Parts: sequence; structure tokens; C-alpha cells
Amino acid sequence: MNIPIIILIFLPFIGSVFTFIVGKIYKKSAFICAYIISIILFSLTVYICISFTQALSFDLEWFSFGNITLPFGIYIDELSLVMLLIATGLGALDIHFSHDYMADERDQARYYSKVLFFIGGMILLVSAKEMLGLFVGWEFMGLASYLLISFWHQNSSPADAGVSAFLYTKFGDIFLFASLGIIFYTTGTLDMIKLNELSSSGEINSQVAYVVSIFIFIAAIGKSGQFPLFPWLMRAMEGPTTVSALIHGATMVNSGIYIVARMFDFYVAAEALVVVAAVASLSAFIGATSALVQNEMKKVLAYSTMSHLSLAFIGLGAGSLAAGMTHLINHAIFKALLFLGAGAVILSAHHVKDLWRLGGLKNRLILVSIFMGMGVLSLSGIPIFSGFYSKDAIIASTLLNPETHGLISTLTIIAALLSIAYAGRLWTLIFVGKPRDEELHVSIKAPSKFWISLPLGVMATLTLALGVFQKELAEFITAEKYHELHVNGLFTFMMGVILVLGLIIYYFYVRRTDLRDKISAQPLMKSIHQILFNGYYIEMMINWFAKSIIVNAVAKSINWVEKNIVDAFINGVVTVTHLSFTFLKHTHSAKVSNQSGAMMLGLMMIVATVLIRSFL
Amino acid sequence: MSAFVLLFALAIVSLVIHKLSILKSISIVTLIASSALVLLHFSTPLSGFTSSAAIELFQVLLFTVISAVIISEDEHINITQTLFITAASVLLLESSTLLTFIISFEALSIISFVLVSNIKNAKQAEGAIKMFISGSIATAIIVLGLSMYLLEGHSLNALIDAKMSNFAIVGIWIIMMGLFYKLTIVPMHSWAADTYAQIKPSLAATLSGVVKTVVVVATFKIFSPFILNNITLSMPILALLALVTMTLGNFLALWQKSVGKILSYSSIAHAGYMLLAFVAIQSKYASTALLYMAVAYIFMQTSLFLLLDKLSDGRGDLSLDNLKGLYSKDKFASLIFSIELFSLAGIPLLAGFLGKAILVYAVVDVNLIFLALFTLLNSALSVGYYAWIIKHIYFDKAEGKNKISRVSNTALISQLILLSGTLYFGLFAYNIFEVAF
Repeated sequence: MNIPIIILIFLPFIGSVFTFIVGKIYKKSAFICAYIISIILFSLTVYICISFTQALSFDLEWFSFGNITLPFGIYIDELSLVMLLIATGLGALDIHFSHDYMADERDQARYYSKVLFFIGGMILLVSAKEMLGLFVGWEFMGLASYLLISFWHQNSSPADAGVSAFLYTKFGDIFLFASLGIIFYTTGTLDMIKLNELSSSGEINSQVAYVVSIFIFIAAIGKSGQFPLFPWLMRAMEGPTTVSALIHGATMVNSGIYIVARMFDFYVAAEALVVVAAVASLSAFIGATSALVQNEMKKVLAYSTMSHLSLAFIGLGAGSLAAGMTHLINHAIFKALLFLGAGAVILSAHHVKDLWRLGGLKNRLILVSIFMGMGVLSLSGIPIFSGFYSKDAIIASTLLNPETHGLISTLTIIAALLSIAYAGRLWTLIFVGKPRDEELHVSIKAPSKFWISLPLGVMATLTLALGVFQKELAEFITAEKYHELHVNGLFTFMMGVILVLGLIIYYFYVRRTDLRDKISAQPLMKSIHQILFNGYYIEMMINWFAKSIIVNAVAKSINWVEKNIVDAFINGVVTVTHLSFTFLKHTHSAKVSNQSGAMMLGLMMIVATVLIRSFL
Repeated sequence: MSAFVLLFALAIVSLVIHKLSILKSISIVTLIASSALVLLHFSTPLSGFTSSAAIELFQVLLFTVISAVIISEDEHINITQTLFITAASVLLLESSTLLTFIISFEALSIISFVLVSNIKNAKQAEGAIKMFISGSIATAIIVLGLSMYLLEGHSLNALIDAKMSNFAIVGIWIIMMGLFYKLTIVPMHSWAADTYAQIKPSLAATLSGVVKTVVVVATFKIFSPFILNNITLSMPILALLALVTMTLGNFLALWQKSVGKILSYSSIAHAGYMLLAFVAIQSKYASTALLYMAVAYIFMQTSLFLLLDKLSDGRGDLSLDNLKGLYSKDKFASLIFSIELFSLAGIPLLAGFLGKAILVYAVVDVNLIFLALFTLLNSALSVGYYAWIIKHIYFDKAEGKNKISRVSNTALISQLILLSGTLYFGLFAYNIFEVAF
């Protein structure tokens, strides 16, 4: 195994421990340490990328027991490379950004070591050859996500949000673990490349493959915040914004899409892609509509993350690996940009996240407003920005695939178009118009150019530049010639609607704010607003189901059985054993004559048995 | 045989030098030398005695355990007797004909009587006498069986014949019943329950830990062909005896108050477990299972009785209430006591677990599912009283002044030897899996 890859896999974990120890001794050194490690990781990835000629594959063994061997191989191909670049590149930018954002934090060592641990988990996940390694990375990331969401665990709401994230994702993880077991039992291998080949050649029972793909997809739903397991993603915004950017915007939430993309042939063979597309289109719609009415800027971004991840899922579900994966990459970059931009605003505005208290920040945060504006344009799918190309490709692929043409494609188009509405609304409310909180407005100062604006600028440039290289990117990932999907009139239609939506936003949020307030005061609009604001009450439904069905009905009846049947049985055992003891005690006499008598009696009984048996 | 010669010579010499303080060190050195002789296959061939890889391994482990016993023993006269017992054990383990087996067995029995006759009080006298009377009856039974076997014209100076008349078969069964006295199989068990609990616990360690295990292994070596030839009859009888022995042992141990009594009954229950290997003799795992159980048992049972000896200052009259608060007084002894008890109970990663596991595996291998099930239930039941002792050691506060004595450092060395055996064979199974009987 070559050395860069060994370092790439082990350095984050070693570095995490090292950072923690060093940071405990001298506070400032935690950042330096983490920064250097993240840059080393990124350089290594770039090095591997440059020297990449063909897929690197290493067969390693975790342990073997009898004739069962658990492999733990490393496999790095184009898909993994792209994910590695995102994880380490955005990770380095994120740590760079954290220098100012987390400057006031007292426990720096803990923060940076957790972030490095997270990056390590992501690297492990995307470079695993077998599902086992993938699962380990998956769980490491889940743990890191939990630890980072509840980073400010002294307060109750981040702590609760962490637990909620842990429970929601863990619910999905159980299914991933189950699918591991099923696959290993039926095929005897966990190698994902081999599984793709086996399923393509039809050697895996199609029903088993279908169940396994659905199970894996349930895990992906949990991790990527899709319907119905998305409420944790919204609550995860309690964590530091840098964490939201890295984990809940750009990298970890992508792992669900990655696993489906990695096993794409398996999904094709199992004919499970349409399920992926269906569930994803529903979540895209829910995410996009709910994002329209949120008051907190991070919540807007969270719902838009959910909606855009769904778009990537839809791309995969419609059968276009290239569309799904390019959108994943584009999204990772512009969403990290938007999250970090929001972080810059939050940092300058003394941790105010409410959109209705901001406004008119354009003049004070000019660089941030420009870079965030580029992110908004990319997210909305405006041409020449990268978001446009992948989004267009996804919509085209849903329209061209007969299975997804219809309801799924309609929901997708609505979700894709609405992104201009919520992103435009977000940007407008923050940067344009009159300041709504004068006192706050006066106190806002422009953040550091090097530590804050530079990473935003890098990402904004990237999202613009990637627009040019969409075709090359798609060809690199899929390793085949890219055929551009074309639907007549789609471009004109999209641009028309985007223009109309842009004008509506401009009219209601800048020109006639009084009219907007009047409309939203209508009872009907109010109730729609409530439904959208609460994310269609999905979290409430899940809580109700968990409480009244699982706790009150199932758990309580099991408890009754435990108390009245199992415990009673166990208590009965004590009585019975005591009775047996008092009975058996009579067999033991302390008198040696009785003992000898017993010996002779026993001897005679056995001899009699032998005699009877042998002479009969 | 050379190990026997060396040990026997040492035992004779020790009669002369038993007043000198160097006896202990000389004995240890001799035992190490004997182990070396065994390991180097340095043996003088003698008719009627053969050895095998399994026997050699067992002998080395036996010498290790005997060293631990001698290190912890204070009275020189007991050391001398223990050396004689070791010599006789070597003979018994290596004997390959019925004649040498019976003679070695009687030698072992007689030295055992001499060992327990070092009487200090009335209780110990009672225990010694009970053992003596039961032993005499057992010898009488064995001789009766031998005479029946001889009357049918079979030779003693050979292995048990494969083809026998029914009369001779009955004779062999009677001999086995006599041997079961030493193995404490029901109905030959009741002396053990009293004797082990009444005599000095360090002597009980030798009797119940060492002698019993040696007899089990030797009996298996000599009698397994006979049992295999008469499998239709021997399997049900032995299965019944094993089941009754372990059930009776475990149930009677369950509500005892005295630690010595609990250990005695647990020793009886373990005899029942070991008899399972005789039941499952058709399985190819039977010999491994027996050897593993014997090795695990010799370490853990000896350790527990020796520890009891030290904690009760040689009186062996500790009750469960006396053990309360042992943890706060002697953490190290509590830990060793608990680990050995867990091993007896069959907790994984300790030797006792693997021993039981392979035994049950062998029983399942010959399709006696219900017997395996009852063994597991028994094992689960036994956890009850072992955990009860540990509860007293760790979680109860001492009431008033307890009469526990501290464990001396030399005794701790011997405990560590036994503990390392328990841990080693809980983790590294291949040493025993690879040897053949």
C-alpha cells in the first residue's frame, strides 16, 4: 500500500488525539495543529489526484476467525477522489474560517480534534473498499456529528439537538448494518465493486438485492436528511456554523448519496432507483417549500440542503449517475459557501440569526454580500454558475426517463425553481432594504479579510469556475463519454419562471413590504405558513408515533409481560430451587454408615442394571 | 518414568531432611527438573507404563500446580506427603495396564489417607475417618470387580479386553464404580462433601484439585476403550450419573452457608461435568474436552482451596458472613478469589468457560441435546452461588470484627502461578487442542 494513502487514512485520527493534547497544554496551538494537518491532508489528496492513473485497490484483512474473514480493503477511484477532494479541501477551508469564528471559544482543543476526527471518518468512508470499512467510517462520522452538534453541551438545546441527530441517524444505521449482514450471508462478500459486478451479471437474487438496496437507502435517508428522517438536520443548526457548513451542508450529509452512487450498478440491477427518485422528489418539495418561510437564516439553508440533496438523489434515481454526482459536488461547494457566508454574517452581527432583525448589511459587509450572492445565484441555477448545469441535467433526466416522468419530474421542477425564491429571499432580507434593527446595524463591523472573506472568495470562485468544467467533471466521475441530455424548451421555461420569481421576490421584499405583510395576515396564508414553517409537522408526527405507539402501546405491554410473567418465573425459580435443596438435603447424611450404605445401594443398582441389560 | 524416579527419590530424602528449611526450595527445583525431564522425553521404558503428548502436557501442568501447592504449604510433613502423591500421580497417569493402574491408584489412595491423617482437631478427624472408611469400601469394591474379571480368564497385565463375557463386563463396571469414589460421582460422593469441608483446606486443595483430576484423566485413558465398546449400555448409565451428580452438587451448593461446603459441592458438580466426556466418548472432541476441563479445573479448584486455607488460617471454617468486607481488607486476594470463581462458573475468557464449552460441544456432537441443555441449565444455576460469594466479598460491609487473616506474600506467589494458568488457558486454547491422547 502506498504511503500517501496510509498517511491520509491514519493522520486525521492521530492528529485528532495530538491536537487535543497539544491544545489542552497551550490553547492557541490547537488551531495551528489542526490547520497544518488539514492542509497536509488536502495536499496529499491533490498529490494522489495528480498521480492518479487507475483505481487504487488494496486488499487488507481486519481479522479472520475460522473460515470467516472480515476484509477491510481500500479502494480509491474517481468517485472516491472527488469526495476526498471535497472532504479535505472544504475541511481545510472550514478550519481556516474557524480561526476567527471560534476565536472566543474557550475549549478550542475539543473543537479542532473533533473536526479532524470527522474528516478522518469521511476519508475512511469514501476510501473503503468493503461495506464494512464504509460502515465504520459512517459510524465515526455519526459520532463526530453528534459531538459537534452538541459542542455547546452546557446549553440544553444543542445537547438535545445532538441526541436527536444521533437517534434519527442511528435509526437508519440499523438498516445499513442489517443490509451488511444480509449481503454477507447471501453473497459472502462485502466488496462493493464486486457486488456491483455480481448484481449486474444477475448472480444476486433480485429480491434480496431489492431489500438490501431499500435498507441501504433508509440509512442514506437518515444520514442525508431526507423525508421522513430530516428533522434532525434542522435541529443540528444549533451547532457552530462552521460545523453546519462542513458536516451538515457539504460533506457528511453527502455520504448517503455517495453510498447510492458507489453501489449504482447494484441499484440499477435491483430496480430500486425509482424508489430513490420518488422519496427524494417528495423531500425536495418539502424542503423547498419549507425553506420559503423560515425566519432563521441557518434554517433556510438547512431546508435548502435537504431539498438540494434530494435533487442529487433524484438525479441518481432517474438513472443519471453523472447528473446526481455533479450536483452533489456543486452543491457541496456553494452550500459550504452559503453556510460560511451566513457564519460571517452571524459573527459580525453578534450571533443574531433571525432574518427579521438583519437587513441592509450590503454596505457594511460588501465582500460577504458579493460572495454570498454568487452562492445564491449558483444555488438558484443561474447560467454560467455550476449549479445551473447540474440542476438542468437532473430535470432533463427526470423528464426523459419514462419511470420518473410525471409526478416525480413535476415535484423536481417545482423544488428546483423554488430555490431562487428562498435563496433570493434570504439574500434580500440580509443585505438589501432598510436595517430593521438600528442598534444592531450600527454595531456591525466588517470581518477579517484573510480569515473570513478569503475562504468565501475561494469557494465563490470555485462555484463559478466549476460551471465551465461540468462536462469534464462528469466524464471524470463516470469514466465514460458524457452525453448531454436535452429537452426542448426547458431552458427557456426555467429562465422565464426564475425571472418571474425573482421579480416577485424583489417586488414583495424590497418595493412593497406593506403588501407582503397584508397578504401574510390572511387566515389561509397564515395556516399554510404554519404548516410550511413547521416542516409539515413531520417531527411532531414522528414524536407522536414514537410516544403513543412505541412507548405507550408496545413498550408498556412488554413491560407488563416482563413484570408479571418473566419476573414471576424468575422468582419462582428461587422458590423451586430452595424446595429442591431442602428435599435433596435429605440425601446427604453426616453419618458415615449411611454414606457407606448409599455407596453399596448405588453399586447394587448399577450392577443390577448392567446385569439385566446384558442378560436380556 | 524418570520423573517418577526423581520425585520418589526426593520424597524419600525429604523424610530425612524434613526438619531443614531448604526442603521447599529443593522440592520446587526437583519439580522443575521433572518437568524438564518430561518435556525432553527423557524416559526409562518400563513395562505397563506408556506416555503420550496429552499425558506429558498434563504432567507438566500437574508439576506446576504442585509447585504452587508446596510454595503455599507451611508444614513440612505435608510437603513430603504431597511429593509422594505427585510420584504416585505420575505412575497413575502413565500406567497402561489394568494391574499397574490399580496398584498406582491404591498407592495414591493410601498416601491420600496418610496426608489427611495430619489431624489437629475433632472435625478434621471426622473428615479423615470418613474418607478412610469410604476409601476402604471403594477398594473392596475394586477388588471385587477385579476378581470377577480375573475369574473369566482375562489377564490383568494388559489393557481391558475388547471381547468379554457379561460376567467380566459386570466386573469392569464394579471396578469403575470403585474408581468413581475418588471421582466423587453420585452415589460415591457423600464422603467428599464432608471431608473436603472438614479437613485443612490446603489438603483439600491437593485432594479435590490435584488427586481427583489425575484420577479422572487416568481413568479416561484406561477405560475409554471399554466404554466405547459397550456404548449402548454405558452411554445411558453414565449420562444419568453425570446428570445426577452435577444437579445434586449444584443444588446442594446453592443454599450452603460455609464457603468450604460450597466449594466441596461445586467440586462434586464438576466431577459431573467431567463425566460428560465419558458419555460423549464417540465424539472426536471428547478427549480434548476432558483434558481441557481437567486442566482448567486443576488450576481453579486448587487455587480456591489454597486461598480459603490462607484466609481462614488453616481452619477452613469460613462462612459467607465472614467473607463480608474482604474487598476492603485485601483487594488482591478478593480479585483472585473472584476470577477463580468466575472461571468455575464458566465466564468467557477464563479457562473454566472453554472447558465447559468444549464439553457441551462434544455432548451435542453425539446428539445428546437434552443432556447438553441440562448441563447449561446447571451451569447457569451454579452462577447463582458463585456470584453470591462474590457479592459477599465485594458489596457487603463487614459486621463487627471479622476473623479473616491476611494472605502472605509467598501464598500470593502461588496464587499468581495458578491464576496465570486460569487466564492463559482461557485465552490460548491451541496448546491443548493440538495434543493427542
